[in-house]
Amino acid sequence: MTIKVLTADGASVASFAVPSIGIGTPTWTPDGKAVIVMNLQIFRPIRIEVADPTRRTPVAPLDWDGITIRDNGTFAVRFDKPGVWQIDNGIRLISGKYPAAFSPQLAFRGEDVLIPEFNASGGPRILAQPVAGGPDRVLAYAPGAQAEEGTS
Amino acid sequence: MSKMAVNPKTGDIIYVASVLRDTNIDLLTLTRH
Repeated sequence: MTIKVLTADGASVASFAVPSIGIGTPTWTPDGKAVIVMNLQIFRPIRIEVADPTRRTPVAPLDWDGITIRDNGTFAVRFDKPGVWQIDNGIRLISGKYPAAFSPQLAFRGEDVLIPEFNASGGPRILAQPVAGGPDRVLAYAPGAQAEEGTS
Repeated sequence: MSKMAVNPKTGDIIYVASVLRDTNIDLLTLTRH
């Protein structure tokens, strides 16, 4: 599997092989200097420097995936159970509602992380969960939204 | 799979809908809410 980094005009910046992608990845580091993917050979997410793709550094312990580094923290999901966590200062569960093994990248809107709720009684909807904690709220209804096969 | 993303400037959300799964994806569905 290959990751290609291009300019907006399509010029090649970098191209390098990765062993796997993972769920919720690849993501960029905030400084734009590295991408994060899941290395399924060691079950740890790794940071790959775009300027020197041979430099690869684990960025989280075993089993964390979907690593998303933002100015206000590092966020992650897991393969084995639903939820979204902040993991940069201890490990804090933000919400247990985020679907397990949901492959798209985490979506943030302001200070909220968005949680798809596919099986709500009134139809699929999107919840806004403050990353700081507290109750979620219904942000939007999403007719036709569906979990991918295998997503709980 | 319903991928979704947020426009960081406007906050608009886009998501992928399956019209095969929900043929009633129309204004009636949204109006109900």
